[in-house]
Amino acid sequence: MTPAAAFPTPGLVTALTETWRMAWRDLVHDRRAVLVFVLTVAAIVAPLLLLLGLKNGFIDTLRQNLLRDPRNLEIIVFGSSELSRPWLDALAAREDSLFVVPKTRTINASVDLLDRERRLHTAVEVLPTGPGDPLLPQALNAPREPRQVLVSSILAERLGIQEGVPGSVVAVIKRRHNGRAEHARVPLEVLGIVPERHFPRPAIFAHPALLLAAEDYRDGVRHLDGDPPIRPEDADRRSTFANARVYASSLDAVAGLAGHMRAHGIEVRTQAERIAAVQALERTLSLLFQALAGIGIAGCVLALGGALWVSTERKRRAVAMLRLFGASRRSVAALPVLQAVVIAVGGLLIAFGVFAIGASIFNGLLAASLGDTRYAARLGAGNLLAAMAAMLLVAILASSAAAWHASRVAPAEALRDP
Amino acid sequence: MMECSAGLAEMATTRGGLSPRRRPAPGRRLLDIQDLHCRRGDGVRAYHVALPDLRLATGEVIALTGASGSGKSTLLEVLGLAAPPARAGRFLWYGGEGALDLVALWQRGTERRLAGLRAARIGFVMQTGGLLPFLTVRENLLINRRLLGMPEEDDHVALIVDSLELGDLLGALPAALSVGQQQRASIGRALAHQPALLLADEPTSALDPRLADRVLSLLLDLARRSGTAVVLATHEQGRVRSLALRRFAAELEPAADDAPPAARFVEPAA
Repeated sequence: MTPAAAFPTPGLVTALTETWRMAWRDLVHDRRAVLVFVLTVAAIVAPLLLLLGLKNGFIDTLRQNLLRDPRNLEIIVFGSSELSRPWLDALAAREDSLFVVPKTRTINASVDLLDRERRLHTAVEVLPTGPGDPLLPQALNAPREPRQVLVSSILAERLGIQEGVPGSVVAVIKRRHNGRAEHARVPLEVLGIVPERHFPRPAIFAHPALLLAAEDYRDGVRHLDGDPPIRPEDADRRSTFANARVYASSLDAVAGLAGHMRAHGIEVRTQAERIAAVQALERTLSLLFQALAGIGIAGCVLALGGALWVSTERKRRAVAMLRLFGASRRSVAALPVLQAVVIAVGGLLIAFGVFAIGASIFNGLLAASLGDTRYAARLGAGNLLAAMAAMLLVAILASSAAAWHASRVAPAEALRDP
Repeated sequence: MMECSAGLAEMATTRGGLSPRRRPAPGRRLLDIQDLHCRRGDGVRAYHVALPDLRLATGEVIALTGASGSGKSTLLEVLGLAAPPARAGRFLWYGGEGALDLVALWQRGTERRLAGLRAARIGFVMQTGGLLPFLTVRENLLINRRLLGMPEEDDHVALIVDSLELGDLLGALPAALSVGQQQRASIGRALAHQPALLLADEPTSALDPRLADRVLSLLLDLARRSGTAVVLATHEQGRVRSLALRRFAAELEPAADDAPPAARFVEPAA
């Protein structure tokens, strides 16, 4: 038999329940002072939450402005390269790439167009496209057939094609073959119009097979008179491409994806400076916030810690009585810790409320002045969890001195004159 | 202190087995003390208190009498296992089946064991302020039981509430009670977990004399019905004489050049 078994020692659950009960009843008894502590914590934390929310909202707005123009995600392959199909497939499969479609040599990336009025529009830019093209609005499907195209709204206006009306246009592709000037006419069906804010220049978006067929025609390796017809699979037969349209999955992924391509000897250009400027601003604001949060949290720890120390000193006799009645050192040390957690969580909840009110006011004001529905102040679930974790840390740090103080109170003090 | 045999403690360790709910049979040994020395304060302010000989039976009531400052409270701290003795020839606790050598327990620094014994088997009544201010009377009454994991309600608790007329006060906070009501609730709190020993330090000196008589008789009556032994520390010698209690009176020893002031609590010759 162990010596401890000689005495009834209450179970851990009893001890925890009783400790929590004492801590809670003492808080309720002291509710006025506790309310002051809770409001003190809220007064420190609420402005920090609002600041964090504004920083998030501000950076998000800048990022969304960049993202709104998908060309900021583009990695432009400069000049002509030798891009193999497997390499492009591997590039498309990377996490940091959003969209990859092979492209012809730049010189072959334009055609002349004949509209219904038989007016000629020379050297119109042709962009290969496919499902998931970030330049296309979501409602618009990429062409599935080589003879189907989308046209930009500026070009549609020039061609006399209207939204919602089936349109057609004829591509005229010229070449010099065996010393003679030749040309081929390819009738195209216009499936839809790409709005100006998605692409502000005259251009057609075509199936890659169309561009590759035109390139082959110019190179003198195929006919375009309808025999053989241009098939979507024609593009799959090509093993190397001169160029590609490449888009990264996010602003932060642009630099990495561009670096990967440079490492393969491909000369690329990006909107790196615009992205880097936003990233630098975000880092600066984050650093500023961290400094302010650090000062605020330190202040919170000192204020709450001091209050708990004084409160424990004031309740010294009650602590001594609990010790006399068999509560362990650990139990009485846990009292200020539990109380600090309640105070910190209470303060945080009030701060969340203040943040919600403040954020809705800010958002209302900024929506009125910016004229859109973006958030001016916003906190994510991660921010809320981090705030909760930070406050628990504050509670534990703040109460540690009081906990040590309480654990040093001798049971005999309860028997001395109050 | 060294003369204490470690064997007694060993015996107690192997026999063990105290139950907090067993009502002690009256007239059996509870405490056996010889040459117990306690010290209050340090250095020039040190004060020595000695209890040369005390054998206390279960259910027995004794009084420690002496002027204020004579060392009654210091002795109660040691008897209540809240402070270690300076030294002791013999300091044995009999509970259940065996003897526990308290000196050996203190020497081994097994504070948790002493705290367990103190919480389960000893009740304390303070002069004032014996209630936790943030708990209701009912919660205060049951605090010792709850900390021991004992059930909240039983016949004993009902008896205490009834005898001390606490029924109407159970929901109140201590601050709302009169001093007399507080002291009654304190007595109830100290006896609710059926301790074997009740230590009462000037339990009635904050009350006016008529109320004091009533509260003290309630305390002694309830202790007798609970089978609880009582050590009553008081400066009111008259009250002790009128109750015909066995008495240990403080004999002050004036400070000598080489010895700090001291008091011995001894039974006056009949």
